[in-house]
Amino acid sequence: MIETGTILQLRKLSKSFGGNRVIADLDLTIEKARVTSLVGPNGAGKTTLFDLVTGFLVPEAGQVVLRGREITGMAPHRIAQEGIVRTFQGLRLFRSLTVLENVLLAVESDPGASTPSARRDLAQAALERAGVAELAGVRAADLSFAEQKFVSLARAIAKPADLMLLDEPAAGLDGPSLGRFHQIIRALVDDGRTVLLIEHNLDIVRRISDSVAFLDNGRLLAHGSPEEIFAIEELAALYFGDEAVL
Amino acid sequence: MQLLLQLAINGVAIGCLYALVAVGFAVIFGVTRIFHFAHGATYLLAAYGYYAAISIYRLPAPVGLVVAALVAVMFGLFCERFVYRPMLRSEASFLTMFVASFGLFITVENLIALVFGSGFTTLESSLSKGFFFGAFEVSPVGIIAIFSSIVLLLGLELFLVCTDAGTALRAMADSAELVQTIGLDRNRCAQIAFAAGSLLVVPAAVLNVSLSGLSPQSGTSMILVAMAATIVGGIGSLYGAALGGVLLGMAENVGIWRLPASWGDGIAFGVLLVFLLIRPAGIVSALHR
Amino acid sequence: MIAYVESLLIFTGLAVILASSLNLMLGYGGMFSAAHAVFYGIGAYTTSLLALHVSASILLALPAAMLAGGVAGALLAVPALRVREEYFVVASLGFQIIASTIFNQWVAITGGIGGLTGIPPASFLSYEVDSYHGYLFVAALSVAGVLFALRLVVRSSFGRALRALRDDEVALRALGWDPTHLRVAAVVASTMLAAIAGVIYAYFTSFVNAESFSLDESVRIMVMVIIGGAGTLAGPVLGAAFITAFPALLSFLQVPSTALGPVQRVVYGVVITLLMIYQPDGLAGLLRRLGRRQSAAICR
Repeated sequence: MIETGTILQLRKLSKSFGGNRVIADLDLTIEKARVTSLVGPNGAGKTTLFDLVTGFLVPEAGQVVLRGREITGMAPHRIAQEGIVRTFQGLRLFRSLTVLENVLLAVESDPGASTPSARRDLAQAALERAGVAELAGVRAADLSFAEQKFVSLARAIAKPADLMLLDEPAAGLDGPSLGRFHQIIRALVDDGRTVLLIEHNLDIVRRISDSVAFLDNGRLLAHGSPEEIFAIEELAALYFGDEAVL
Repeated sequence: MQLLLQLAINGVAIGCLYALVAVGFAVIFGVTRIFHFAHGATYLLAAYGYYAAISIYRLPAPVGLVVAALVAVMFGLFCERFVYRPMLRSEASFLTMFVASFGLFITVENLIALVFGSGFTTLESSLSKGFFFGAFEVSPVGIIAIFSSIVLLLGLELFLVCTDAGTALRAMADSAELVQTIGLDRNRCAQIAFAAGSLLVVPAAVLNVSLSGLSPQSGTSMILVAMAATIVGGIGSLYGAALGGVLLGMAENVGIWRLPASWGDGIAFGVLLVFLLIRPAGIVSALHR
Repeated sequence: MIAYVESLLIFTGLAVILASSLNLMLGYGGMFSAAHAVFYGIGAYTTSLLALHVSASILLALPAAMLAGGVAGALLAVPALRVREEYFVVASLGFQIIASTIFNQWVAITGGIGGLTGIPPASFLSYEVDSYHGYLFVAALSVAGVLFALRLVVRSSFGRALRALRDDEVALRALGWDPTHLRVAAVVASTMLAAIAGVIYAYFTSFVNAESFSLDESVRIMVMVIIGGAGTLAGPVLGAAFITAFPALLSFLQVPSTALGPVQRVVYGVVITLLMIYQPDGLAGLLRRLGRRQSAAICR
C-alpha cells in the first residue's frame, strides 16, 4: 500500500548493541521531493538510522520500505543501486583519487547505464552544481575542509538516486558557504529529489527544511514542520539541556 | 583400525604443538592487530637455538631450553620495538607491515640456512624412543607434548584472567584506543604480548625437534599451519586457535591413512579451504575468548 | 654468449609479466597472494598438454591457458575472499601448497615430479618459433601486450574502482559498487595474465615440472613487486629486472652455488624489511623522489 508522495517508510525499526537499545520501535515516513531534517542530541541514533536504511547495519526488528519495496537487510551496494545515495560525517572521499575520479565513481557503479562520454557529462554537471568544477584535477587529499565537503556533496549529486541521505553536510561551513549549500539543496529538491539530512545547525534546519523529525534515545519524539517542532519547549530542553552540545 | 588410532594419537601430539604456536600467534594478533608472519622465524630461532646448545655446545637439555626461550623472546621483543613500532608511528598500512614481517622471516630463515646448512637434521634423544602402551606405540616426547601444551595453555589462561598484565592485554585486544585513555601504555602491552606469544613457541620448537626433526623449511610449515589453525578455529579466539591446531595436526596424520604420505601438507590446507567455503568464521566464532 | 644474454632477457620478460600481473591484485587490489606461481604453472601445463597431444599452435595455447588461469583464479578468489583481508595471504598459501601437491602427484596429467618433456616449439600459423631470437621476439611482444593491457585496466573505471577500494571500501559500497565482484575480477584478470608467461615458458624450455611453480617461485614474484614498488606500472618492471639480474651478479662475484639461494634471499629479506620501514613505495618510489629532487635543483 503506497501512500502518494511517500518515498521511504520506516516501520517499527529496532536495533541494539550489546544490551543497549540504540533505535527503539521507530516509525517514520519521508515525503517525496521535500527536505526533511533529522535532529536530536548527540547519541540519539541519527547516524545509526542512516546505517540501518542504507544496509550498513541490519535491524533486529522492523522494516525499511523504499518506494513500496522492502529493502530491509539488503547489502549496502544493492540498496545504493535501488536509488539511495548517502554521505558520511567523516566524508570518506577517496584520497588518492582526483575530484573528478571521485565523482565519476558515483556515476560508473551502474555500467549498463550509458556511454563513457555521457557519464563524464553527468560527472561534470554534478561538479558544476556543487560549485567545484575548477577542482576537477585536484587530488582529494589536497583539498581544504570546505572544498572536501562540497566534493562529497558533488559525489552524492552525481549518483542518479532520487533519495539522498546527507549526514551533517553543512557542519563546519562558514556563512557564505552555508548560503551556497542552501541553494544547492533547494535546487535538488526542485528537480524532484528527496533530501533527508542530519543536521545540528538549527538555523539551517529552520531555513532549509520542509519538515523536521526529532530523535532522542532512538525514539522519534516529534515529526512536523519546523515551526511546529521548534515551538515544543520540552524538545528544546532535551536538545540544549543536559549536555554542552554544538 | 589400530593404525588409524595410532595415527590419531600421533596427530593429537603434533596438534598440541601446532596449538601452542597458533595460540602464540593469536595472542600477538589479538592484542596488537599485527599479522606477525615472522612468528615462524621465532620458531626457527628457538628450535635451532636449542639444537645448537644441545648438539654443538653439548649443554644439558634444561640449559638448551633456557637458551631457546631467551632467543625467542628477545627476537619477539626486537620485532616489536625496532620493526613494528616505528612503522606504526609512521602509520604504515597493514599490508606494508605484513610485508616487513615477511621480509624478517625470509632473512632469518635464510641466515639459518647459511649458518646451519639447508639440510634436514634429527636430534637423537632417549626421549624420542617410543615404548608400547597396550597395542600402541607412544613416544615420551608425544606425551610431554600433550601434557606441556595443556599446562602452558592453562597457564596462559590464568595469566590473562588473574594478573594485571594479562587483564591489560585483554583490554587492549578489545579496544586499543580506549586502553590509552585509562592510562595503560600501549607499547608495554605490545611488548608483553610479543614476549608471551614468542615464549609459547619454545616448547613446540624444542619438542618438535625431537619428534619430527629440523630444517630451515620447518619455519614455513609451522607458521602456515599456525595461521591456518587460527582461521579454522575462529579468528579472535584463543581456544579456537588451540582447537584448530589440534584439528589440523590430526587431519594431517589421519589423512595419510588413506592418502599417500607426500600429500601431508596439502591435507591441512585442504581442511582450511573447506572451512573457508563452509564456515569462514571458524569453529569458535570470534568474541568468545 | 649471445644465447645467454637472450635467455636472460627472455626470463626477465617473463618475470615482468608475472610481477606486473601480480601487481594488479596486490598493488592495486590490496590482496596479498602467495600463490601466483600456480597460475604461471597452469599456463605452462595447459600449453604443454595441448602441444603434446593436439597442436603446438600458440593461437590455441594462449586463449586456452588464459581461460584455465582465469578459472583457477576464480577458484582461489571465492574462498579466499571470505575471510578478512589479513588472512587472504593464508588462504593463498594454502592454495599454493595444494596446487604444488597436485602438480607433483597427478602423474597422468602433469607427469608428476618428472614433469612433461619434449614439448614441441611454438607454431604461429605456418611459422615455427625455434630460435632464441624468435622467443625473445615473442616474449617482448607479450610484455608489451601485457603492460599495455594493464595500463588500459588501471585507467578504466574498473581500475579507478580498485584504487578507490584501497582508499575507502565503505564509501565505495555506498556508491553502489560490490567490493567482492571487484576483487574477484582483479584476481581473475591477474591470473589470466600470469598464465601468458607460462605459455612462453613451456615452449621456450620445452620442459615443465612442478619445481618451477612452487612457493619459492611465488615468493620470488612477490619480492619483485614489493622491491620494485607496488601500485605503480613501472614498479614491477624495475623489481623484475632487479630480481633477475641479482643472482647473475652474485654468481659473477663467485658466491658458491650452494649458498646462492640463501644469500639472495637474505638480501631480499633485509631489503624488503628496510624498504617497508623507510620507503614503502619501493624502487619506483625512490626513483620518483630522486627525480623530483633533480628537477627541483634544475628549477633553481
